Amino acid sequence: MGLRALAVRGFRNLKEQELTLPETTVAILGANGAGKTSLLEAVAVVGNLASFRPGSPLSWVQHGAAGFHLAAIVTRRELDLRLLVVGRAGRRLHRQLFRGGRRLTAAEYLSLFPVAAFSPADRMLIWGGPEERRRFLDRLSFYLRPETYLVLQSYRQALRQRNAALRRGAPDPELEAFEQQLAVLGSRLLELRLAAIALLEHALGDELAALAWPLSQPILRYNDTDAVSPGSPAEMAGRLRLALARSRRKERARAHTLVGPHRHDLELVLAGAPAREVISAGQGKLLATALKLAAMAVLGRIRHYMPLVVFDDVDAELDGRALACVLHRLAGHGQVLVSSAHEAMIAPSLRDAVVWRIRDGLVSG
Amino acid sequence: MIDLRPAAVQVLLEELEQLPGVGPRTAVRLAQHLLRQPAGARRLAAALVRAADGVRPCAVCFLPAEEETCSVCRASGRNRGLLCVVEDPINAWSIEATGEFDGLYHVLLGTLDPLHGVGPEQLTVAALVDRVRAEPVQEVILATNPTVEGEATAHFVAGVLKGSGVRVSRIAFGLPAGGEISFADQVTLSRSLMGRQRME
Ligand SMILES: Nc1ncnc2c1ncn2[C@@H]1O[C@H](COP(=O)(O)OP(=O)(O)O)[C@@H](O)[C@H]1O
Ligand SMILES: [Mg+2]
Ligand SMILES: [Zn+2]
Repeated sequence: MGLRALAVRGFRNLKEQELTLPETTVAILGANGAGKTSLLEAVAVVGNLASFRPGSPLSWVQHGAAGFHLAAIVTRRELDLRLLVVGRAGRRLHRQLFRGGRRLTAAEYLSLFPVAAFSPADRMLIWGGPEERRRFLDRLSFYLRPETYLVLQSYRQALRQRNAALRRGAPDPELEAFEQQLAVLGSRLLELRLAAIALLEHALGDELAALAWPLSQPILRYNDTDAVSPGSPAEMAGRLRLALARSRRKERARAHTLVGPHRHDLELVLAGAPAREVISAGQGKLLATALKLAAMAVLGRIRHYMPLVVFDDVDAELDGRALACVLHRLAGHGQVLVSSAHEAMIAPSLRDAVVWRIRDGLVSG
Repeated sequence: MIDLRPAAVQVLLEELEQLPGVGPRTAVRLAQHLLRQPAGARRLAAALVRAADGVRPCAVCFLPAEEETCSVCRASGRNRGLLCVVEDPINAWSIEATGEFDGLYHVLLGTLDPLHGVGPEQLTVAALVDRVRAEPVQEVILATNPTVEGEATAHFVAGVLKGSGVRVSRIAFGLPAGGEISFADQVTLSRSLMGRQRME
């Protein structure tokens, strides 16, 4: 899987331009504000329909523009795919997705060109709220089992319906009708997540070793405060149903569903304590990077994905030795785009890379 | 600037735009077509009036009917012990087209949908319970769509019918969850009807 060409228009600060990509590592160098993040974001959006930078998709649209075009030629199993993402600014971003001339749904589009995106925002995996880790986990589950998309979508819909029923003060049997759905879909989601965690935990050791991780291996613990896992799907569904029924009284007051996988967390435990309480900023970056590398390794082994890697501000928060380990791990992976504002810092580890310089949103080779 | 469209055309455009899936541009295309063919337009108008005045829900099953009751409810030779519960008439028409089903229907006129303020009172659930009590019904097949709302509604109706002595089954879907019955091909539907499963 590789990106051969990218044409951008109306995206962040990027000038309208067409780029042809080499199959190896590209080092994108430029001063602060030059557009390095924007360029890598454009690649991430073409692949994942999502950026690694927190913020609304509306912020992708260039100031003063009505929308953006991102067109890519991607090689996949010897075939060239022409992908197009069109975004139009409104109250929210309206997007249209195409492969060749054919319009696709997000679920159809997403598996065509997955991009593994690393960035300083990965620190949120360690220090952010549970929703960051759930998103990471569910994304991995989706690439492992595409049905995750539908399960998640249906689960969220059942949740919205139950919350609306709570707000309306609906009698128990009506709530129960949606709880049944939440229990069935929720236990399936749990199954998918637990399977992903098992694979992740298995792959994490190798990645930590590759990054010269100085501490013991963290334990990945799925934290369901409602204690519905582990168990067979039927057992988990049964427990979830019971937990939902039990918390109805409390939830009616808040008009909000308080139990279920939308409240769970993936905890990282080091020596009995949450990792975020123990580790340094640099170690946090290493651990987050290792987790994402582990996800990539899992997908490579099970689904034979070899995603393109983008790594924004690769040297942020890393000392020279740790940075060398990260870059060494990525060498030979395939197509890798890394950005940095510090040429001297990354140059020693990237002798074979093609260098792109970017200024005012324009790339020069 | 003068609006060149006569008032009659403006009214027509406004009405057309009320239709689902019809935006301003489609409305103009439709209006243009109708105005070029006055005879066809008059036939369409007559058909609309006839449907609006003459069609109402069947008093028993809520399928559209031109008389007090619909043609299925009046037909002889249908299995009156078997009721198929659907969300809307279109689903009943799809099921009828399989030729596999010879019972009667019951149209709920929607699904539970708290987000849009729809509870059981807005559906024909009470009428279904009355029917099951008053008629010689032995089995109820729940054929709501396999969406979150359709599944929840099936579950709710099954709960309401519990203890009424009828067998309650859920249509078996060889379909992806989240789909809709009308999208199913006839073979899948026939198979679903034969493979229906009992609910608790
Ligand atoms: N939607 C937008 N339209 C135009 N310019 C933007 C938009 N969003 C951000 N910018 C500007 O683009 C510039 C480049 O940002 P960025 O890609 O993050 O730079 P770098 O990563 O190279 O430091 C910044 O000066 C920023 O203010
Ligand atoms: Mg940046
Ligand atoms: Zn009838």
